[in-house]
Amino acid sequence: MFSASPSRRSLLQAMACGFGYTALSALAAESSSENPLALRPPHHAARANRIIFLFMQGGPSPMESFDYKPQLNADHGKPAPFERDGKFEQPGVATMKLFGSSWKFDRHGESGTWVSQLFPHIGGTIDEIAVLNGMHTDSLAHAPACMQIHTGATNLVRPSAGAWTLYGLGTANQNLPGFITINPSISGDGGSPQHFGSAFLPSIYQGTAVRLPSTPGANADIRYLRDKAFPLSRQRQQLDFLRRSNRRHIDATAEDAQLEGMIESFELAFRMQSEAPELLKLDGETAATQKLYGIGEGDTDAFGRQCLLARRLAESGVRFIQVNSGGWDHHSRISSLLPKNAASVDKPVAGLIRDLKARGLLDETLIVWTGEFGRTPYEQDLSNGASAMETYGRGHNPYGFTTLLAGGGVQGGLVHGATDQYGYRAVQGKVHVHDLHATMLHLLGLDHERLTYRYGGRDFRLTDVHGNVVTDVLS
Amino acid sequence: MLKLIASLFVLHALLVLPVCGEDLAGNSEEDVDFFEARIRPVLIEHCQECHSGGKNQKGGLNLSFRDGLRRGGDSGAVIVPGKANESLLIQALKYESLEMPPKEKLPDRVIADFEKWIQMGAPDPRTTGAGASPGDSSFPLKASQLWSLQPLKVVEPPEVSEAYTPIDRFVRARLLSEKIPPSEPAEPRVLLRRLYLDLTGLPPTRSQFAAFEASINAADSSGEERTTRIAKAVGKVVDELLQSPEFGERWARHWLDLTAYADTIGVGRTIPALEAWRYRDYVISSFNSDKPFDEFIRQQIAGDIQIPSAPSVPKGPPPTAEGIIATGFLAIGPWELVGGDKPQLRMDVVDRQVNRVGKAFLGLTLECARCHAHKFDPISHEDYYALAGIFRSTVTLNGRINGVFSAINQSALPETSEDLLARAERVGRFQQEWDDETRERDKASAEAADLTQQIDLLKKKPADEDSSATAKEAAASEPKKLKTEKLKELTMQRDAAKARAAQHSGRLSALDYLRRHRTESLALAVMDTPEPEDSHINIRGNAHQLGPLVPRGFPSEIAPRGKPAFTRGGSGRVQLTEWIADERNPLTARVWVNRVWNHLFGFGLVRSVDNFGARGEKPDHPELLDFLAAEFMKDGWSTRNLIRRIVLSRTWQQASFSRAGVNAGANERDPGNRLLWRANRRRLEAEAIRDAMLNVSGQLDTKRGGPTLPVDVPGNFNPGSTGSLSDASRFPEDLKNRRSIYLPQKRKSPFDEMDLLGAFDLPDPGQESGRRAVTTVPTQALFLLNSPFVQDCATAMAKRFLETDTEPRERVSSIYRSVYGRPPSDTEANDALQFTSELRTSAGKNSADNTATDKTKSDNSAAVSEQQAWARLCQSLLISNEFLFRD
Repeated sequence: MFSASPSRRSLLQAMACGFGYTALSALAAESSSENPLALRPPHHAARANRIIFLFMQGGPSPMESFDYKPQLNADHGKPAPFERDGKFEQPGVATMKLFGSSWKFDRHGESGTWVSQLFPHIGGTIDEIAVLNGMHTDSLAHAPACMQIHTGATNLVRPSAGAWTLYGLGTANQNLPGFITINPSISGDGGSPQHFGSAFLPSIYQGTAVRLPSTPGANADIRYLRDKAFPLSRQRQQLDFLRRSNRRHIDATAEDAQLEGMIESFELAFRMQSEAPELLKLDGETAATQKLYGIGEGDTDAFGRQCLLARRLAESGVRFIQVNSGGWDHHSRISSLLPKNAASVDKPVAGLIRDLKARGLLDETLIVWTGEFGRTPYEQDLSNGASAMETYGRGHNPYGFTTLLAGGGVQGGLVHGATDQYGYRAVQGKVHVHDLHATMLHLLGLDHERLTYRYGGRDFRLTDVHGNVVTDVLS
Repeated sequence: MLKLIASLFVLHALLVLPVCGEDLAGNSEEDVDFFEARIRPVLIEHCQECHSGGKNQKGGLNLSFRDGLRRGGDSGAVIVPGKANESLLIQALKYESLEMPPKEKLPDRVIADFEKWIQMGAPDPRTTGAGASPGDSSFPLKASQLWSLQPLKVVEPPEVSEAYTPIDRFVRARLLSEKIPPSEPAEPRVLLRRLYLDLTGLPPTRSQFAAFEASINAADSSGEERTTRIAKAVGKVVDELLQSPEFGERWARHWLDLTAYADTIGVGRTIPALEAWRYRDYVISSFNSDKPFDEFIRQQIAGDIQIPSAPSVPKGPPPTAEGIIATGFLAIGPWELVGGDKPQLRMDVVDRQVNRVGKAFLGLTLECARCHAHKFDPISHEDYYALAGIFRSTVTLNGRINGVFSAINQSALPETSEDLLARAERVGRFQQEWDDETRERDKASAEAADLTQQIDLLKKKPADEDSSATAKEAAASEPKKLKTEKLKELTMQRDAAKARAAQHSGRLSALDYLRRHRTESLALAVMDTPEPEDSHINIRGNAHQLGPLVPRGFPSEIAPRGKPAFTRGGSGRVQLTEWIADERNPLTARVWVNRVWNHLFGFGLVRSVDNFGARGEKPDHPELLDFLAAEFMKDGWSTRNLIRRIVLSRTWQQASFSRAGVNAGANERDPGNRLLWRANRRRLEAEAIRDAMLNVSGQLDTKRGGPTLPVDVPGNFNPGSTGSLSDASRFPEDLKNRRSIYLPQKRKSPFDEMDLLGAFDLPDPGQESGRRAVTTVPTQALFLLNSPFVQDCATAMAKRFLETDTEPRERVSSIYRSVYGRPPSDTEANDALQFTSELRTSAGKNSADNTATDKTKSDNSAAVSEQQAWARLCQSLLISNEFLFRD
């Protein structure tokens, strides 16, 4: 029997301490081993305490963002001098004409890293960032590739990276879910609750979804967090009655950890619903901070608020935070659509890095920015020649893409890995999604080969039987 | 042997190479020099970090010494001495198949060295290396070492002083020797609730509690002892419950957990499994008819096959509809129909089928042998592919949609004359709907066309056509304005008509997609391929890397052993069911009996219910397990009798703690209650919580069976290329209060209306699992407090009791009786009354609520309505431990 209840003693203390992070981290450390969310020691010294995973669903174009390809630009319009992998079919790519970037690249920072003009703000923080240009993945379709970037597996139900993290390390703040995903996409080809699911891990490790409406000024919400028709003071009365009833029931029977656990979970829930709404509110942040994230500036407002919320959650001790941005699937009109997507995240992401840095949190927070795959260096013309060039886009490309890492334990200002001269295949410093996962766990102090869970007679891992830590990007 | 092969290779190499000095392994000096200079450094620098034995032996490959290199890894041999272009190593270095080393391709010059070296015969002087002896030799276990593969022991229940059921005698003998007394019998009320919940998944209603009490008391006059009277009353209830339709609805759900059942197919896309409900209903009716378990096995694996009665008879009777539907066990699953790699997809389906059969019936983790021999159990790589061949010879995916997407096989069901009549009616209804939609669409289109014409006409017509020349100037602006307005109005009407037409068109294409489903009797089922075929070993589970062909068969180390004769043609599924349901198979009866025990006790006698292998647990009462398994088979594989036998035992009927404290201290010695000195208190499963709340609040809809996936709700279904259920599908009102087993299960984006199930550990429908996790997390408490579902149940209860009981104290009593099956104590009644009146009083200066925001703040002090106050009381009881736990 699995009970997720922290010990009674720790709860009493938690109630006395309130919501403070430090107090609670000390508290969680001494809570009983029964609590599956209690802090657990890492395998080795951790470089980061938490992860903020910024997911750009759809497949951002590397050759228009961080993988500078002058040769591709020079050969724009020429037939591609390489073969397409025939294993996967895609419409509108038969002509295989090279398709250069419409955007200028400049060197940024002291490192002089090439960044496209679409990401000026990220460019401004590039010395904090390791650019992984040799990423590759197994599938060309959204559903399996999104599944893989989140769970390691393309077509099997496996726990998400966040669930593995929580299972491996527990969480410091017992009053909040340890794994939160902001505006996850759960529908369409590229969305699924499995991206933050726990699969066969106990469900306590699954991510809790927070909805943050795109309406400017709106606050975030967790489903069932509150009963808006029933004031908290009334609910307290109800909980007191419930507790008395449950207490009488226990007194009439034998000691039972399960029954105690239920009683405690209601108290925890009450604290969560009293205190989480405060945390989910962004209006208490200074104007300067909001500006840093581009909040209130149209394009950047929605994602800016997501990033700011991520920072607040990180500060409060949430272990794994997913932030989701959709619409990067530019099969057509990439020249007009990509700038909008880029603009919507550029300032917020840079703001997040700067804000964390200013608060001394960047060193202990790993930020990952990634899509599920990249895009083809050749054009995709879904109209088959009927429309003008400006309607063209790029197809899916699992063979090479870009992931950014920043923060705890990551060497900033570094470019690791490279694709071929056109950006089709990773050829150097290749990093598979399994390697990325191994590295993420490594930075959290976990050995991806030792973080196992036995299910159905087998020890499972996030990285299955694969994965190598990308030591070259470690600081 | 390996050495012999190796030296043969060397001999081969020697034939083509000049012989100079030789080392011990027969390598010439020159060869060794080449190896030392060009090969060894590269191996050390680029390969051995991952392939050097011990923990660093990825892919089972150890390149740190000669024999390891020659042996190869999970992908087979890595070099073919003398044949560089056939060597996997070279392909990997060239990034042609595998890509090694993974970080970066080695320079061409280095690869050329390796080619040359292999052409030379791969001379290699390294006799020992790191981890030269392969790991822990105690695994895999031999069949003779694994308890579960030994034949059932013939055992008699031990003699103990009191007359108990055989089950009790086994358990009691053990407790006596450990000197732990069992707990007292559970109170009748507790026992009744336990029986109802375990057998039907619904707690007794107030009247059922009352009837039970009456039956105990009515027998009072007979002069029988109270315990005898209770035993009689319990026996009667057990028989009633085992015959009730709710029994199957409860126990079918246990079985569905093992089948990854859901009403949709894809993982990425929500493709409706339109006929899956038939399998669900089949499982329910199988439990309700107490279908012998061996027959249950046969139908689910091979119910579609005409089984000849003897080898000499060419064909058996035609399969029944039931048999075909039963193979939904194999056909329904989380298949990635949109997957582009079809050979791999096919093997993925086969793999799931092998796993599912292995797990559900045999308690084995066969999937471990997909990529290599099982590391712990005596199951070889060949055993796995022998079974895989059976399922490769079985059609599960059949045909394509749009040439790209796979489809699940659908079999037409044989129909009785009644079925035919019903079908004719369905066809009629469908045609009617089709005609209506067509008519409406045509009407709307015609309307749109007509309006377009009017618009065109109006546009052409000059504004002044009918006006006299003199009036023209004065009125010029007026008709112009009128015309603009008229145009605007007409355009709006036209657009509306167009939209209506489009809507009907959409509906028509959805109907067209659903035509077969609506008008035919189909089942998602498997069938044999025309020609059975054996399966190749898939190296490391990769369908594109084939190893040797393996003849179809069964795991060779599990009884009954020996080569099966597939003389009767077909895939071999029939023979597989015979092998599984053979009384000599040591696993089948043990595994099922243990699953039943698990559902009734909260733990199996073998706690790892899905794993009877070396990594599973051993039975706590091995003799009892064997006894029950043997009895079960003797008894015609009757699950109902097995359950009856268990729930009538004193062991099952004892209390969850000793009121008299007879076994105080036992908890320290046996905290897991493995010796069974008390009953295990358990939280209700997700379905039971939901169904119980609906039942107590008087809302449960007892309609049984039938299709429930809401594809017919407008807007839910999207014909598209594959046909998919919209992720934002609406949940129809008429399903709201059905029992949980009938709710439509989506593999992705489950309905919000089913949130309770997810919150309380309903397993992901993507996996087969015989045992659910039980978690206690605050999000559950939030759900219980704040979800509309629980609140609606509470409100329904409050309304009812406000009507039926006008006197508050009576009302409290009624509510307690309904929820707990007992009256409240005085303290409880007072507390409940106090609570409701507290809510009804303005809180005045209550300021505890300093975090409430906006509007709620001002409402804080307001009194809640009478109905709401009572609803809160009902809710509190519905979410209390006494209700949520089965004692």
